[in-house]
Amino acid sequence: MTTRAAPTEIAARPLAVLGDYVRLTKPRIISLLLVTTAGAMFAAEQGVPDGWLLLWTMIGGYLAAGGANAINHYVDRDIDGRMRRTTERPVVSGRVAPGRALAFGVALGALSALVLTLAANVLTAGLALLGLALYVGLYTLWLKRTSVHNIVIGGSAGAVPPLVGWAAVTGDVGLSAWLLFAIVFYWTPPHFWALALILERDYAAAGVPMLPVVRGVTETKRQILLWTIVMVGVSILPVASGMAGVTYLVGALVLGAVFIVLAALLARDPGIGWSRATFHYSLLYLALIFVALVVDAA
Amino acid sequence: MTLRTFALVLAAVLAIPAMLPLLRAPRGEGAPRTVWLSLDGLWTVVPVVFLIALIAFAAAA
Repeated sequence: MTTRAAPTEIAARPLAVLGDYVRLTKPRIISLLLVTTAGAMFAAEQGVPDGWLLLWTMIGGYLAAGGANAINHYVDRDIDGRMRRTTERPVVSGRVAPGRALAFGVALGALSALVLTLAANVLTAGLALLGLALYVGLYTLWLKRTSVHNIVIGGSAGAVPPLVGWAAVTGDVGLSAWLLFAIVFYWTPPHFWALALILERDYAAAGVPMLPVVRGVTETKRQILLWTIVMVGVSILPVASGMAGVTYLVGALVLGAVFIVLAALLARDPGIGWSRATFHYSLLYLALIFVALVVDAA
Repeated sequence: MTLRTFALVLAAVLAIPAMLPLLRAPRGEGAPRTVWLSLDGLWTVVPVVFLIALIAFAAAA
């Protein structure tokens, strides 16, 4: 005997499938990456970049990062099933077949290369693909499962979007572009470890050697504070190089001071009570520091 | 002192002293003793070398 689906259920199914494929791209994470891409474009242009170039670079950037994330869902389906936070993901829950997720990710990556080559230049497309390769190869396949430095070195993948934005406008990646890369590179460990403190049991259950699992909570909180101070120092370098001015400097110092205070409160906390605030603020920090760059460039 | 010099000094004063403790052998349960002879040693040094290069290039710009 078969059970007939209700008409509303049939109508809802294509939307649910579409929703699952969108979920494979991790849109919330990408939105922050695209802020860094756009910020870099405004800084490179020293004003407002061409609207079409901005739009197509955002689309191409989304496709590349989305492709990387979809492939991540395919590769990590074994450990996603052992973490409470990720058991409802489309692949691990069986709603999207693993092979389809992989094909979808590869297709998005290829499409991003096409879009960015046509709309910007080959360097931009190559950098986007480099970001995808770093995320899948260096982070997901290698370091995430084998090293306590997984998020430090593997996190370089998430720092590529400003290079993509800069290259789209200028056709090259000089010191200024690498300074923006560095801000995201040094921001990633304190940001991610604040989250890892909250999810420590999940990572331990999945056998992922995140810092709190391997070195303990106290050492993680100490490193979050140290990396945050390094990151604030690095965030000032665009002023030292002459790329940004006093408006950006004031913004970077104020935003950075708040981040350091939160990291210090977390370090002094006997528990992990400040980890959630530190994590949420880190998201706001990254978006706002690139906004400060845009305001300074305007 | 120009804005650029001020920013360079401030960046170095903040970043370098905070980076140095991260070079020390890791503490805590499960910390490897031979970290410097392993791939982990390389991963520890990469952010430090990158930081020094960034400061040097920013100063030279």
